[in-house]
Amino acid sequence: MAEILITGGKSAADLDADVARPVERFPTRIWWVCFLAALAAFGLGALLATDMFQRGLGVLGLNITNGWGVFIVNFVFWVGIGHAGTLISAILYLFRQRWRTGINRTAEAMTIFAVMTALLFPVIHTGRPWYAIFWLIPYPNERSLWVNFRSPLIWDVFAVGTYFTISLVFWFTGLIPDLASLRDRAKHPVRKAVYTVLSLGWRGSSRNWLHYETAYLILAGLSTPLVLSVHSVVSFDFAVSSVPGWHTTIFPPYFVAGAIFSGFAMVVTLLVITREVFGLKDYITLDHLEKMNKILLATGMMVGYAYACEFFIAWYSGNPIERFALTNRAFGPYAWAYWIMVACNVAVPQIFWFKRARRNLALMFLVSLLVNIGMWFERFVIVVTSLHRDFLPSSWRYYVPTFYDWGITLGSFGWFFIWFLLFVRFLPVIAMSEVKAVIAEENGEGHVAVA
Amino acid sequence: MLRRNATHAINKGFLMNEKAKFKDHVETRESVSGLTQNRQHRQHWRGIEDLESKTTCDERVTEFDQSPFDWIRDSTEMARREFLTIMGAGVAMATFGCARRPVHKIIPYVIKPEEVTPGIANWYATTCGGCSAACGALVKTREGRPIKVEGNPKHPLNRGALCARGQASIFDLYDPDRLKAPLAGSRTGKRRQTSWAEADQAIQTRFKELAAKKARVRVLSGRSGPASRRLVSEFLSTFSDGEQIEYEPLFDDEIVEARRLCFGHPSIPRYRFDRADLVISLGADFLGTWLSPVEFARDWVGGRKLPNAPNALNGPNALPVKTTMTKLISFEPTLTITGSNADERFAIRPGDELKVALALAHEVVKSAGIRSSSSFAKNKAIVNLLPGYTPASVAKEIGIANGDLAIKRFASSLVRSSGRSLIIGGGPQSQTSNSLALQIAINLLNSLLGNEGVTIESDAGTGFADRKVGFSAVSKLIAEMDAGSVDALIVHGANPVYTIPRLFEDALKKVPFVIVMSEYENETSRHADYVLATPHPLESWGDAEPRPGIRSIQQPVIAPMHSTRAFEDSILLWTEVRRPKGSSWYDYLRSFWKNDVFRSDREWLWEETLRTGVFQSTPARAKRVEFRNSALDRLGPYARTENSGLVFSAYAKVSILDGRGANNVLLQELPEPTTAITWDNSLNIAPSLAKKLGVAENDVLELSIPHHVVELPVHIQPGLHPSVVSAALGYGRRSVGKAGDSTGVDLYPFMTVKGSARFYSGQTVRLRKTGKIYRLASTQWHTVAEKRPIINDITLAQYRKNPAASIHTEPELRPARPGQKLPTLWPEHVYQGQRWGMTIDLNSCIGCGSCVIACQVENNVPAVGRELVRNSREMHWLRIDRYFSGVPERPDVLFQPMLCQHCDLAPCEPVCPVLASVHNDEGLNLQVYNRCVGTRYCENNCPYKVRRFNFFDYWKSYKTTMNLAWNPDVTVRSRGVMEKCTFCQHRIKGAQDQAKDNGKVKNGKGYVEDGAMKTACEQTCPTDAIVFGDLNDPNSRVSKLSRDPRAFRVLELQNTQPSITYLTKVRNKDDAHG
Amino acid sequence: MHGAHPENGVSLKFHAKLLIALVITGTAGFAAFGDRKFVVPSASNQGYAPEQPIPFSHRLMAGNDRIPCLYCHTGADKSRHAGIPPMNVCMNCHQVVKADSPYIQKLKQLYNEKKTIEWVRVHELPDFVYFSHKRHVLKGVSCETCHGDVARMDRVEQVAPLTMGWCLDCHRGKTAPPEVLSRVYPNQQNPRGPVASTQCDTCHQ
Repeated sequence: MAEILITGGKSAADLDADVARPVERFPTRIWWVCFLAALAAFGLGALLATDMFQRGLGVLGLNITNGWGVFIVNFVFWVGIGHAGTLISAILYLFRQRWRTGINRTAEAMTIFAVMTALLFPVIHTGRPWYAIFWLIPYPNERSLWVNFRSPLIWDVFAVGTYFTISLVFWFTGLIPDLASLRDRAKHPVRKAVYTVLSLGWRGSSRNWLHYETAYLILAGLSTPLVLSVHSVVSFDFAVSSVPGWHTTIFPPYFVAGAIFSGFAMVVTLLVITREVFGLKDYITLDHLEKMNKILLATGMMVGYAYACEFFIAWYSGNPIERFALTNRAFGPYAWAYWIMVACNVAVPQIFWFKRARRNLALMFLVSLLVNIGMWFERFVIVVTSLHRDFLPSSWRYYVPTFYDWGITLGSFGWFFIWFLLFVRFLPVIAMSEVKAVIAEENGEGHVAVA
Repeated sequence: MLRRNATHAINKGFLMNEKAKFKDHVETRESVSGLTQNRQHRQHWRGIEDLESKTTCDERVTEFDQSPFDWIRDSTEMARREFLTIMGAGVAMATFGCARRPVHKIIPYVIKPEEVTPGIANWYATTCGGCSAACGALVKTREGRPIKVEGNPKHPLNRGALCARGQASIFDLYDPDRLKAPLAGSRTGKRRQTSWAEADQAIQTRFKELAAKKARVRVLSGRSGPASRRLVSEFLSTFSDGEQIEYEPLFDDEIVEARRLCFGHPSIPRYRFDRADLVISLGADFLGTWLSPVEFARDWVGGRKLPNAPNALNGPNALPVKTTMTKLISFEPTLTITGSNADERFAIRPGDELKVALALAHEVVKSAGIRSSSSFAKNKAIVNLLPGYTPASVAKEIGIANGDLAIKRFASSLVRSSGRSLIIGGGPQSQTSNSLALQIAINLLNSLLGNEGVTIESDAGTGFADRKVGFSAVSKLIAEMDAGSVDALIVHGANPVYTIPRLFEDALKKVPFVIVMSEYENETSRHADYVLATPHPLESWGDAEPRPGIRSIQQPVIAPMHSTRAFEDSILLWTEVRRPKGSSWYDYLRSFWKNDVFRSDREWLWEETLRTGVFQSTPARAKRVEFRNSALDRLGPYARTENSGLVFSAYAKVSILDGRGANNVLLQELPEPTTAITWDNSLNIAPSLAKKLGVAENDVLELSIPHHVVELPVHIQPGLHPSVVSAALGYGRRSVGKAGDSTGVDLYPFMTVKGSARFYSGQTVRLRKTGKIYRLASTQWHTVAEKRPIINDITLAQYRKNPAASIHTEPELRPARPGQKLPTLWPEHVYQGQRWGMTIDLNSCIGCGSCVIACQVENNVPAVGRELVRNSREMHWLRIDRYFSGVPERPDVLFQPMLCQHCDLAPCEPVCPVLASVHNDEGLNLQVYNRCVGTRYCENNCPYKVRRFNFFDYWKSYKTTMNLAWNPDVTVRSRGVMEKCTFCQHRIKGAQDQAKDNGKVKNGKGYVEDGAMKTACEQTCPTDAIVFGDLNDPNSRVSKLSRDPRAFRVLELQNTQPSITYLTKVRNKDDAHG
Repeated sequence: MHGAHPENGVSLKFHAKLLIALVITGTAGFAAFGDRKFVVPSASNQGYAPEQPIPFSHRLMAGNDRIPCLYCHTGADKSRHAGIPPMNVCMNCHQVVKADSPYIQKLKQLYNEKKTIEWVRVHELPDFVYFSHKRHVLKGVSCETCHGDVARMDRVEQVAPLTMGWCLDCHRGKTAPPEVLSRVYPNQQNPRGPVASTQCDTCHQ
């Protein structure tokens, strides 16, 4: 045994009990509070969005110079969040990082919900989503017209779409054995029926396991390149354009690093909560979280490097407009946003050099929150400060988000947490089957197929 | 669900043209009824092509042509499919119930007039009613509905061009706030609508009484045409004491008076800018607002044009043929477009123009002496007067650093170009207690230099001698009214209560009987017994005599839309003079022209004049005018003291002018060329003064003179004298309409009256901080070009050395010469047929903004209102960027019309996900509105930021009659759609259509000859700065110009390869041959 | 490990299959019927034949009496709009022809009152489409190509879908009538190829 992944000498039975408890018990008050809060937030967002659709995008802070604002910031932010999941479940899986078993289920769930949230924004930011949806997927093709495959936005449609589908299937496949065990534990007929259908007739026979393993491996292989592709493509939205501050080759790696950074931060945030609320301290151990924090530290520095690199490139390019754009970021009207970003993403994570800090729950929770904020501002800086002062000084303007921008942003968080809370309510937050394997090993029992 | 909304959006949004037409027809119908009373033969204006009428939702459901359930009944499909289909059907029912296109009606003519073919425009020549300059206009009508006013190429004044006000005047016609019927009892406060019959009844009886007794009747009107004047005088002759007074608030009485004193001939002379090599303007904004700006701009720019074609082909270093330019020097208190276009400009205090003039005279006399032939020889007055005005002393007084050298320089160039120079002055901004003296000094200078009769022509006629014109006449009237000796007053085309505050209002209360005839309710009409609604100039007959020898006809192009009656028709009705029964103003006008203008019975002359819109005769020119030395006595005495403290200077904006355009949304939203401010007037102060006072942009200051106090938001304006504050007249209207009321602050109350003279500027004012803030709606926040390769201006000296000289020499800023192509990833476009392009000569562009309005009217570009301009959502497809360079005290100003560059490698095209932004085979960069989903990616990626997004359904703000102004050839955009300049693509299509009919075809398309088609902006440009044409034709004007050594493109480093080429501005700064 | 009861195992298998089957058939069904307007509604009014205020019969006028289209629709070769004949054109003949018919009476009455008939519009394109009758007529496209065999219709019906795809097919030469093709490609045996511009700005401006 290289390391202890599960503490408290748990048995498989304990595990089932511990993990299934929140699912089978009547939801706690705290769950209801959170759920209603999320519902309210989403309600507000939905309300504002509906009004926006009726009156027009003028209710937002956008103007003729700032064509994009908070909505696109949110899109990139959420897609970024969605990264950690696949990374953990796929790449770590392929690398046989067994410590992932404690966290991968939550991470994957988060991925899916994050992508669902992200997908809201490109649709509503057109102000007439019925067109956006209808003409980006032109079928039936009554006008014998197709979409513009040169446009990064179309690439987005495919990249994010694929990513979502694969992640979903991957996640569901992983769930099947656990659903089966929930089915078997279920008393209430309805509950039983539902889990029965969902678990697709899993009986845990070795034949089942064989197919399962193969499928899981294949899916992991499939989704690995996606981890890199999605955010690269998203970064093309900017890199392919000619806007100073956007038009740079470093964007794809820069965005991927940032995405993993923010993704892991979000995972930490959620895990700290879940393990507290559902008393899963023995399965989501401090070791797990410490590992996550190490990744945060590493990716944080990558991001920091990217920030520095942008400046170098701008200076090195000799393009005065590019140079101005970058100087304007750090010292222009939006300097405040820029320095919030730098502080949160580069400075704050440095604290994880200390083991003490890495293992301090309160601290890591705070840091992960700050990183999330910082990463949101990174996208804000990229989108807004590059646009508001571009080529012709005559069209320089200032962008101020309105109540609608903020309200709908809040709504997106509501939307995300609605799903997440439903997840923790109805599905096992820990990959039981996989953890069992680990337990089995640690308790030195007979060999079970290693997840 | 999505789909239902989609179909709805289509119906709602894009059916707007239909709606427009629909409303149009309803209106036109009303108008017909109004019109049939007037003249039967005009009946064909029942311009009804088709009429839409919406049906209710259920009706449409019954028309649902295919019920899915029938299909299911016959269906023998397998069960699961069937289930799915029912699902689909359910969705369809839910989504599709109401989505069917609404039922439209088609309403044919009863009797179709021959000249009207639905879909084909008719043009009529008339006279522009935008201001008193009376330019010639051509009006485009569709199905009897005027949709555009353009300059009349045959008219000698404007020669096809038109200013912003003229272009926008079409919106006044459709203004929903116009008077729609006569009103009675305004002054008593019990205002009520009345009928014409009732009003006439009352008025005529009143006039009968007045005619009986020795009554004093006065008619106060704006500048009106000869026929109208004659008619009024006939009318007044029926009373024992009748007088007609003409008053234009911005009219320069001093010029007339000074010419009476100096030459015994009270008149406004003809200024021949086309003959002048050197123009010195002492405050006169002749390019923007003074007298006849379009005419002047056209004349003046003739001497500014630099040659292109011949030397352009010989590469950049070939010397140009012509290296001289008319030089413009300007001394002015506030920054106008004239000053902005001056080669050398000096900010001075209002009132100091006189000192400059005399200093110049001093130098001229000193250096050149006085030609013994001239009447000044051995003239005591001059000899005594001038020595006081050495350049040194004057320069010191007016506070211009080494101004003495400048004045000396100018004087010597004046002498050098004697007889080819022109000194002018006037306009509100320099209208001070010195104005009369200034005009005399100007006359003196021009006479000294022998410009009289060459660059200044005055006709032999009596000028204004037999007319009561200007403030002196009005002040006399006010005196009479005050004395209570005026029995009846008719006000028409003037708004004295607003433009002569207090004085006139008080006096008016003492007049027992007041009739106001006006298109709008206005400040004056509030004090009238009867307010009679008059039609818009486009609805009524009239004539004008802009200057001796030019007579133009104003003919109606649409039947009166409301129950209005022409001023002249009313007068005719009330006149007791014997005249054939039922003869109308139209008949009167014809007979007047027959007897007084044509002086012949040939009928075709009238028809011909109606067609061309103008009748010319050569006026007898006065023989060499002699300067009367007696005038010089009037030069002094006046304050030589250094006037201390802050001085106020009022001026007129090109858009609002004296306030007549106040209810015109287009004009209100036209950014002032020099300040970029819309919808309000601001208190302009120099940066140095702002620093001294410690105020910032938008701070509200209290501005006070002894008898009046106002609060104005500050605008920090380079190019102002540190002790001058300036603000625009014509704002703060109290009762004109929704758009005009409560815009800005009224500054007419600052007008100061001295004897029979009034002046707007020169008052010493006091400023006080209020701590309030008012956000001015500005369309440009940053006015420095940041050394970017956007604009290019060089001096004439540099141009002589190298016509291709550029201020951007860095290779990364100008990687390519025009025409030279840089490598690109995308496949190159090939253009078999014609390829459209444009050149804009920054050396000709004066920034007057007429192109902006022309574009708006032509392309259905909405005005969005103050709040949205504040949020930077103005919709102008064509905007005019202004950049300042040099020191804030004496900035160089550059105007740059910025519109879609129709790039060959357009950044907007590859990024649009739905191919709404596409390139066509003529080099046009198209925006397909109905395809656009509104991602705004193109907008972000456009380096020129010329794309405009519809944040709201702006067409909804177009109420009732305003919907008639839509151009049916251009789609009305709904919200969520991106739009931008199309190079007037619909005009191109029209021209190609005609070309095809004439058999001129090139690879499947009509071949448009060079100049056969003009874009709206090009067509109206007073200085021909914009040229549009075929770049594939090496001999077209546009391709010649784009090969000019001065040619450059904006942001060449982006390699967007624009179709628009700009030509470097050349400043005639060096003095050699100025 | 997790004991699973065989019988519900069976039912489970079925559930699983059903789920997959549903997904597949769903996709297939949409693919097959997606273009039917009741699945995804279409903006086309094909087959629309509303009742008119006066049952004017093109079959009589254009069919039996052989009155050329351009006699009434005078704008068709001059302007974008073909135009609906003004009342006076109707009255030219009907002052005498069938003057006693009740409908003509109605017509006459309206005419004398200087009123007009409000016909119901059948063929209509959205406002953002700028279609020119003139260009098509002058190119030799017969009226029937788009309006169907009006000469056989008692009540006019929209025969063609008048959708953008339909327009483009003709412009691209796929469905262009032979006479037009041979006009565009005079010296070809059986001409093929585009007959008109397919640039966006040909119809959208």
